[in-house]
Amino acid sequence: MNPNENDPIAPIRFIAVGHAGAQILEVLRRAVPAGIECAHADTSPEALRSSPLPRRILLGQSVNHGLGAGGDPDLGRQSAEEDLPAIRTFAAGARIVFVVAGLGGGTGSGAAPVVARAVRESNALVLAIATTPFEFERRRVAYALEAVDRLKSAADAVLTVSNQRVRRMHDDKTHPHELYRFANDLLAQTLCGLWRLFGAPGLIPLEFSHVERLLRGRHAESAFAAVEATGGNRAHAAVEQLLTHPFLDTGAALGAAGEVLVSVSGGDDLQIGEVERLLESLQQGCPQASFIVGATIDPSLTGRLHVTLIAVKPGTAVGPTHRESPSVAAGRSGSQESPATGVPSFAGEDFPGSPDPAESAPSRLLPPAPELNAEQRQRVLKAQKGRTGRRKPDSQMVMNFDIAPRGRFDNTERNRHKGVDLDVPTYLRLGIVLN
Amino acid sequence: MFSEAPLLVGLEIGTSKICAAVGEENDRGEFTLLGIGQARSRGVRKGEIVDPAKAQEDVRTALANAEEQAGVTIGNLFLGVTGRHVEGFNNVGMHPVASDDRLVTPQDIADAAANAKAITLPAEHTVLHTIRQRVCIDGEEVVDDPVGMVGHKVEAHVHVIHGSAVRIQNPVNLVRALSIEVNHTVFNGLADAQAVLTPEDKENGALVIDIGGGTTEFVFQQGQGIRQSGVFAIGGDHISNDIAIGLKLNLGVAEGLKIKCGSAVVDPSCHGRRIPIGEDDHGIKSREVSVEHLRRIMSVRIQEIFELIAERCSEGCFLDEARAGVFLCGGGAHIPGIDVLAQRVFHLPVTLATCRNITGNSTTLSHPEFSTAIGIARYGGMRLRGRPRPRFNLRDVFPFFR
Repeated sequence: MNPNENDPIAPIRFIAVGHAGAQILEVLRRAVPAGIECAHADTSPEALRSSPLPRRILLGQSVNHGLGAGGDPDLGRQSAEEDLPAIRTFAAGARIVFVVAGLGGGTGSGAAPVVARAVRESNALVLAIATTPFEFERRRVAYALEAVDRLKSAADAVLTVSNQRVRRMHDDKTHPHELYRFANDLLAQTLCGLWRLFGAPGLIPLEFSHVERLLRGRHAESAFAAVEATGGNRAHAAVEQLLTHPFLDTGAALGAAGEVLVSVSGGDDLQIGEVERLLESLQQGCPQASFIVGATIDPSLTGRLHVTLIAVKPGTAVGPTHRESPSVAAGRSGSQESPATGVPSFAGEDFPGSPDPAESAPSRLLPPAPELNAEQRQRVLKAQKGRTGRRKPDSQMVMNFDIAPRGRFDNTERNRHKGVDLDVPTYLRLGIVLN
Repeated sequence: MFSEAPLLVGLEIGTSKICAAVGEENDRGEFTLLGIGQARSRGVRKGEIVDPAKAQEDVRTALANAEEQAGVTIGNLFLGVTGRHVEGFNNVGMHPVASDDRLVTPQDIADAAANAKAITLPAEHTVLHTIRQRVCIDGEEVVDDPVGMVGHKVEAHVHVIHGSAVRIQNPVNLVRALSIEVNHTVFNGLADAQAVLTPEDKENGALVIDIGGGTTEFVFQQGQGIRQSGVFAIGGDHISNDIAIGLKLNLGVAEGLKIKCGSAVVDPSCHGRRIPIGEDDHGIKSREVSVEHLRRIMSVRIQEIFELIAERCSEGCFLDEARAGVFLCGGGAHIPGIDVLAQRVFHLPVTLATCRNITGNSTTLSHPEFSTAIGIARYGGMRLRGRPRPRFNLRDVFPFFR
């Protein structure tokens, strides 16, 4: 399916769009000793100059005259469109490209979807990882939500992390820096896990097609997480971390998951018992899910256990779903087909300038657009997440329903038969009224 | 083996009464009832002992009563067991014919039957009876002796009756505490079938239902085999209890009312009829209750019992095969109209059973509530005697059963 399947070591690349993305990638780069192929795309030469990443792509110099996007997503988008060739060059030949951005600003919100599409056009699987702003940043939240929508139509999978959610995990006295660092670390850890999942040699190999099948078109309903644990009881610790992971709605996503992909990475000291225990505990955490399991060995991980998990909600229909066209259609010019599906017939059904990319890419699922504004939508989603909580099998209280009279049989064993207590008078159970 | 006809004693520790039947068998296998002893049961609920001290006292009374009536001394007996833990189910055991010439040997059949017995029972459960239904060679049912036939695979279809080992042991210990040996335990429903069915009935297929005080046993016998059996822990007590709750009476009054004007069917004649509940011992003023309500309460309960049995029996076999019909015994058989209700549920001929093929006091034999104790004694006789004509030489595998 993958056009690059002839090239077994087709690389995985990371591209940061905007300042926030670069921060995250920098954390990731430091975490991965082997080094990763990454680039920083930004509209502001100023930001690029201080960029920690080795490869830099300046976007839209001719549009913004070197002044950046200035918080205007439209400008960010135009800038990115100016320099699509540079992005394509970077993505060329890659198997998977991660687009990392902080949404809400001009560059992140405007340019990231364009970058994602450009990368996709170069036949790579695109996974977009983005943060969304705090709720008090009203205007930026609106920009970010629209950007997420666009990212979903452009990328194969989108993982968003709300700063607000991260904020909720901290108390009021936390320094903002610490908060950002925490969010960046989490994202970097997850990215690292995904990178390992796709990149490291497999002990129990996870076929790329598995991952692709799982993710394609389901970005709205998938959740990722990666954790790392050390020490004697690391399998247990890893499960604990996963079940309380903020990206998984502190485990709620696991409880509701229909399919779970787990990749376990360890050093040369990885023990099969650990993997077994880990998976068993995880399976208890997601009772309805079917599992896809992979394991990789990375000598640099000796003493540590790294677990990456992708949870997909069940019953996700894959297919084109009509969605209200976004206000800015110009950004959608260019090929919309999904090259990675490898179905050549779609090439002819390309609609340049089409306002609805979903129509031409059947493998992409777009959630039907609810007639709600951004804030309402967020509220609804939040409420839904609360409903599908993880079940705790043993913590439920047993309620005593000993209301029906049993008379003579009060102290005897209950006469259960197919859910009814036969000791209770039949006429009562049948609801026959005596008057 | 036995120079003299051994004394056969069957003891049923029932929920409403404890009944001991003493009889003997002559060398032709004819059973004579010598005496019946009974006592009101106070320590049993739903067929299981809840108050051992009282139950023991009652058992002693019943046995003494029986000894007196029969003029014998009881040293050992056969004990009937029941309770909702007792369950029956069908199983098939297979065994390949190992010999070179593919001739079926008795050992092959025994092995197949042993395989059928090797089943996963619930924890703590023990097998009470394993009853052969039929033997198949290579999928073909064999009517007569399969020994010597040629085949590759022997299949033994058996019915297994099992129950909780602990709960079966309780009454056994209670009897042993009276210095009386328990030869064997028998499932009450099986005993009923021994007492009330003639060989013709068995051959035609018959469903025996024993509605006791706390339990209802049922056995669907066809030919030598048992097609289905089981226990529901519902009985006359439940009917009285329903009446007590429904008509707001105390249990004793409800029981009396059930016996006096109860019925299993609600006929139009009882519409609007009310009967006074007489002033009781405590001088409570009389009040009236509706007969229709009384019978409605009873009717739905009994109908439910029948429906539960019909449902269980239709698992894996057809009730229509009970061509001899339904035989009702136990104290519940006294309820007026119960045969009509049974007929409505099962669509089969219904007989209010009496003990048959037994000589003795005919008044006693005609009482359906003694059928269990008498049947246990009869079963004991067969067990001691062995089958008159063992067909497959399966003494070790199947209890001798006719």
